[in-house]
Amino acid sequence: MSPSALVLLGALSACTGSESAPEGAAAPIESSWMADLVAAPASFAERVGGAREGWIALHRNDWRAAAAAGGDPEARSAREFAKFYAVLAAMDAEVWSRMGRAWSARGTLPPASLLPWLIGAALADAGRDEEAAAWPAGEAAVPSVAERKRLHDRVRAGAADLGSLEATQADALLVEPVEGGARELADPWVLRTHARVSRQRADAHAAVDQALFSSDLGAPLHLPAAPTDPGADADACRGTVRELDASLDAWRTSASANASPEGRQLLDDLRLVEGARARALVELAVTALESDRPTCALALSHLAIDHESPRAIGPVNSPTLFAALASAELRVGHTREALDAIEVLVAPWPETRGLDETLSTLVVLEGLDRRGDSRE
Amino acid sequence: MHRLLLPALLLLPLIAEAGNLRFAEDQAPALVNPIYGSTMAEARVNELVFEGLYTDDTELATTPALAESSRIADDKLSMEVTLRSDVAWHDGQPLTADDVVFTIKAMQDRATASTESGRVAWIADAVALDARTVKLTFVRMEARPEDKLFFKILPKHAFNGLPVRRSDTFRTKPVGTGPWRLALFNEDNSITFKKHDGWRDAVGIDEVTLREVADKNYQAKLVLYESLEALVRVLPRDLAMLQNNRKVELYPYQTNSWWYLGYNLNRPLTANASVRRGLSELVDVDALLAPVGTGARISGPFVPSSPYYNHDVEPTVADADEAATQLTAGGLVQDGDTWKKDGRAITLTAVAPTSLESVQEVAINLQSQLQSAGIKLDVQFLDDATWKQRVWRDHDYDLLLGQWTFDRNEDIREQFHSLGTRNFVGYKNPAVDALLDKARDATDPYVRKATLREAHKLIAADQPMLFLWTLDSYAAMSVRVKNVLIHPFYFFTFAPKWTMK
Repeated sequence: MSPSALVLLGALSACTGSESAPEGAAAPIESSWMADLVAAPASFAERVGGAREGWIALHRNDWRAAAAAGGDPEARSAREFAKFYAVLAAMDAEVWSRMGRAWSARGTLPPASLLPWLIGAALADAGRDEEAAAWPAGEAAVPSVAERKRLHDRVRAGAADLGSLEATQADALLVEPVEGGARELADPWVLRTHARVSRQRADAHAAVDQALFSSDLGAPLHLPAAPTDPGADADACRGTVRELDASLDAWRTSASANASPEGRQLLDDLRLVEGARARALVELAVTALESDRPTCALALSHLAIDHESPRAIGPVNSPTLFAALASAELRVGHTREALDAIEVLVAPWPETRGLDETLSTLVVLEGLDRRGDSRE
Repeated sequence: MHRLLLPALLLLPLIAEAGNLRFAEDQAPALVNPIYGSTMAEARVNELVFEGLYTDDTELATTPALAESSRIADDKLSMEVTLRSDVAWHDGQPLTADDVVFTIKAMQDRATASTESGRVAWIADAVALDARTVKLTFVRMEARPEDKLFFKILPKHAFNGLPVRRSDTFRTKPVGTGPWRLALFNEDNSITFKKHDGWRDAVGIDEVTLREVADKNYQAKLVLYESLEALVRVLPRDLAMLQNNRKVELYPYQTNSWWYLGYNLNRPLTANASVRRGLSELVDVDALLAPVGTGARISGPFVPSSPYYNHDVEPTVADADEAATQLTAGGLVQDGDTWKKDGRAITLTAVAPTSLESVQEVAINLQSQLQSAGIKLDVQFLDDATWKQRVWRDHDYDLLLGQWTFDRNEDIREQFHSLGTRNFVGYKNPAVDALLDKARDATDPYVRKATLREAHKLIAADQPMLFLWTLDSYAAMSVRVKNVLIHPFYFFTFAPKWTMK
């Protein structure tokens, strides 16, 4: 490994939260796909091969189109799907859990509703057995709900295609009349079904050597050590990003100066650095969520957003970014803000509509006794 | 204050002294008294200086602030709140139960004319049982009354009894219990806040300075030039520039705000629903939004991610033919290029607050659009004090351009209930009143959602205002500020834990 790459590796893997940029870090990320591509832009055609449309779709985080294109883009998108749904499924279970706890603490759970059973079903499906034990179990009392559960079981077992959920996954599982409206209860299994099927599909694909448009920055990026004060975790993780940015800025300057016009064009037009940076930060945010460090995950997600189009999925903002952001917001108690992040996903990913509704119910539940404030 | 020029501002010290956090507001509050607060700038200042009995913890759950403990009666019709014993006002006097009683009575006193009276309407009576204990009796049963006790407490000894007046000297010499005390209104309209040494916990920043920077275009530059450490709200067009600067970090923090074009329903012409609809359909909202930046159109009094947003209601779109039909139905006559009422050309007065970002571009564009459609619009930009007088007190306008920002409860009752204290457009619909009452009393969140989605639909149909758009809110902070956690509405709630390097 070159000395310059070692500088980068040091910056990427040993961050402890210092905010100062490493001196003399102006080194190219020599071992990354970005460096190779900018140095030899003609290799782009060779890299994308016959799956050009798939790679283009992958670049703009349109995983469905990438999957449809086959080849390496399909394999890569399968992994993106798996990661995305895993975050959402975990979040969905957390929302059901919080809603159950909050509502039960108020003592006003509607007695004739299927809601308590659904809370138990969601928790059991997520493997949160201890919590699930506090809620009704057994076969659903409503035939249509029992039938939906059987459909999920078949899809998970491979006996039915995921597409068989498409007709109903954006709809409420059950609508119960309430005074002046309806209680629309969401399907508690849909995101976990997607997560399991996506994981199976990802595992079925061979590893992809081609790192084009990936989070690979030439060296692994690690979370900083967790501070003893959890409140300082966000600052520690922001420090990691500052050091990464210092390295990337230096590399970009150097690479741009040395590249051919075509190389510079690729670097700028495809927003290679911004895209790779965002992907790396999102992966780190997901790791932070898995490591029970939500304030860190929140900081990383905030820093990953492309603020030029903060509510749109594109080359920088991936669906997993919004999933991770929503999950982190929820876990730090910012339920309303979580809803804001999920809102971005609802239109392009109709299977998240149920999560959106359940989360919005939790938001309302948490504020039922509050007197709102408003200002000009 | 008058618009400051960038060169003059750049004469400010480039690097703040350690422990001095400087933030910008478009307009510095001229009056610091939380029972008259109506703007976000005032709310932020109040958060520095005053405290409530309860507040939000970092997970936005209710936690005691001035209260030490509370006990709710079994019948849920009253509660006793015990105050902390270690709280002193900025002038050294101890906090007492009388202060709490005084605050509630002041807010409820009609002669006080508090803009916050709605926040204590649920309290039937407040009595001091002893120096540290207050008994609150409720109008109806309350499951979690502490969730409503966030309003700021005033020192009884700083007033000459009831009613409180806007003009009381307190407005410029406020006394609170908060982590910072207002030290000085400076000549340049900046305000200096010094750490309250008697505050119960450590405060990481010694001094906070509010700098009035009327031209929002300069605010981002001042952060980049290190003449400010914080921007409470970044213009959408400045986001990319700040994101690419390594000395600054962006913090998305709240999104529950929306712009509107309000109609004065106290005026005969705009009291007519057909006229309002017609005027709304003359407006190309997307064209108004373009210079402001990226934002999402809305169709009613909630933002699209709200639990209460009714996605079945479509935003109003410009439609000249339909506008003509509605204006005609409203009794107007098109005479050549001009719309007339009773033979006289229509001339409307629109007001807008100078402090609202990009409002001049929006207002001029609106004026141009309506003028092209045959309606003359006289646009007036009002400073904060004139706005409060013309809009809030005298209802002296035909149209107004404004913005409402809500906390996460998105409670629109004060804006749209006929008895709402912020309902200065004069909107009255008994069906909406009933829905808002029902939503307030709902114990099933699904019922509240369904009820407010219905209210959204009715309000949108009535068009007391043309609902325009929502913009994302970002703060920008210098990387020198550490441990930053921003409250999504009050901004400074967790600022005592911030530090500076």
